[in-house]
Amino acid sequence: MHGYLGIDVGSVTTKLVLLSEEGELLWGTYRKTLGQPIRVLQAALAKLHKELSPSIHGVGVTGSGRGLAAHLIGADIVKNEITAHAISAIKHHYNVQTIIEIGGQDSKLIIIRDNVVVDFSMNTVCAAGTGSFLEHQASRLGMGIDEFGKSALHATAPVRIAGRCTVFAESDMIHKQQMGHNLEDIIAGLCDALVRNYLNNLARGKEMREPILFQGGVAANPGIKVAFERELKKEIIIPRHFSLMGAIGASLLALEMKPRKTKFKGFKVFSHHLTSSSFYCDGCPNNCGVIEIKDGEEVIARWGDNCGKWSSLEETILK
Amino acid sequence: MKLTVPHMGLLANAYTNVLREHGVNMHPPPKPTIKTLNLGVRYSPEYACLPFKINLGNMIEALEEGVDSILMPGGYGPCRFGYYSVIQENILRRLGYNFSMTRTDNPDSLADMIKTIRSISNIKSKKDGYLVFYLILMRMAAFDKIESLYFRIKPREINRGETDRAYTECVKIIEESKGYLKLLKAFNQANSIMKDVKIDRKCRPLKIGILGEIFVIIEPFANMDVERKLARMGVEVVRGVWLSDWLNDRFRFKPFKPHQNRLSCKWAYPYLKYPSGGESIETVGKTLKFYKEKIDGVIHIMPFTCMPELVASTILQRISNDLNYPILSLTFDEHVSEANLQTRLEAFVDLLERKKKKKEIVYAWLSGN
Repeated sequence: MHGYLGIDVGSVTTKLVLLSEEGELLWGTYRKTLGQPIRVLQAALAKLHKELSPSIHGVGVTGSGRGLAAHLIGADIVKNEITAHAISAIKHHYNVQTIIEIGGQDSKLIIIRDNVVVDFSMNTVCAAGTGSFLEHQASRLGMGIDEFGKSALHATAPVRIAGRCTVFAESDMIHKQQMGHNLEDIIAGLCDALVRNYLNNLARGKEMREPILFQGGVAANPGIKVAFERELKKEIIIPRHFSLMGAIGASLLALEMKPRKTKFKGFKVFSHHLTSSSFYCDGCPNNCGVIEIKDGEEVIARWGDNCGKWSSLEETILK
Repeated sequence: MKLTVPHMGLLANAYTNVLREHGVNMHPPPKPTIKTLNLGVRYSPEYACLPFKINLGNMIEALEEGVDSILMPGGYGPCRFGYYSVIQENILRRLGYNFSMTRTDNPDSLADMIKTIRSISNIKSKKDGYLVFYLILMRMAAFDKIESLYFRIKPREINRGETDRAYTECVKIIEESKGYLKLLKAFNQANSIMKDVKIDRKCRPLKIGILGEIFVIIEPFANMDVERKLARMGVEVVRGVWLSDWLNDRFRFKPFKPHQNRLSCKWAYPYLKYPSGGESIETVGKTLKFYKEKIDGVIHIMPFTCMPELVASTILQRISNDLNYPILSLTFDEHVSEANLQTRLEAFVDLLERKKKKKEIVYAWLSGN
């Protein structure tokens, strides 16, 4: 079996997919990064090797950890999340015009016309309304995240919660709880607040035409979907592999590129003992944090400096 | 007297040597770094903009190095900037520094500039004052010309890093030239060094226009080196705001060069009828001009809490919708994350590339048709 590997190393979760030559999803995995992207990637690769042991013809990586993943695994194409999500959405739904993507730590709005991205925006100031916050609130209420999303659907009168800032939203929530509102109404109110926050921050001045796709981890939460539909008065479509869309996009990009010879370093990566460490360069007052990946004692990658003093060293080591 | 002027791009390189020759003990502050910014942020009002904070940090660093006088432009306009020197002086005095602050009271008046230059140097006659000021302006113009060449050549270079090396050399050559004739010679030499860089003539890179607030555009530290980041991605940067143009609009040292501000007013007229402070009219006007010149897209750069550019950015959103023209607005302050910026830039470049190529065959195939 052979295929194209797509990897999306997000802030909270890591996604790995294998696509066939025709762009069909052969295999996919979705797991928590837990702050240890290297180990999670190794485990995911090991699982893929064990289950399918495919030969890889191309690798695409995306997500906030794309640099790390590219260095570790050897990628043919390294793309930002916005392009990756747009590509897979276009593949999934040919006429898509708007993509709402909410992940662990950031949210994006992508506007597409005639199958080309024409505009996008991304949260800058605040992470209110992203997966991490919802998860935190769920655990504070002692619920699983699945249960949390569903319970919003049973609300009769959603309360109004200030959603401008996560910290204030939380204190407002506690206040509403103590006033005696029931849990379902509070959760539904929270979903509404997050949707309002998203639309105020990202959608200002942008026309959200249908069809609208909703992807990323938060799409698993039906409460948010319903809140979006209520606010926009438009239908929201959740694609089947909503949480894997970024990774699918990355591998589609690799597929589109069709590298003659892939840079993939092979499945042996997962058995190596890789360690990452970082230090602050004191060459100038910028004090860049430099990240170093070691395979045993040997440095295999280094990045993070502005001037290239360390990352260019890496080139001399590798070549 | 040991004099300093805060950094703004290559401005310090333009005047330091010239003024030194005329008996001014010039001591430019160290180039802005994270340390500068941290110092500036610690002592600035929270809602002051990034240029204010970097300026203040620069001044503190210079004072720590033993400087005892500061020269800072002031007066009215173009925005809150006019009051900066007053507030900065106040803050520095409260921090316990002992120094004298010279400010130019009228930024538009040539006579005032010359008076200031004569008051800090040993230049006797008015005529010499004019000549020295002219030399500084011409140097700035030379730097700007070389930088615009850099942006044109960098995405087309064949040997990676050659353009950067050539550029550093050129800046040094111009900086070290003495007098007007030597400057012309140095400029010609720099020009030919830049043109000797091997380029791929068939390369047709994406073109992105850079517009917005002048300080944040000109000082690479303030914008996290957006322009060079883009150039490294293979994009040709077309900068719409140059310090020498700004100065030429005021002092007309190149009398035949068009008045940028007046032209921008004309271009911007359908969307903005009169200047609303700062560079807002140029941002709007030149966006429309770039659109006509078929520049692929525009990146609009401004500091957080910048009122004039905020006005422009709202208008740009409308222009973008009306003309279907890609515009990305970037706001800078001390909280901007590098990763977030990188993602935005990459996504914007992808957007333009895909829009240009419209890989229809691939898309048709992706959709399964």
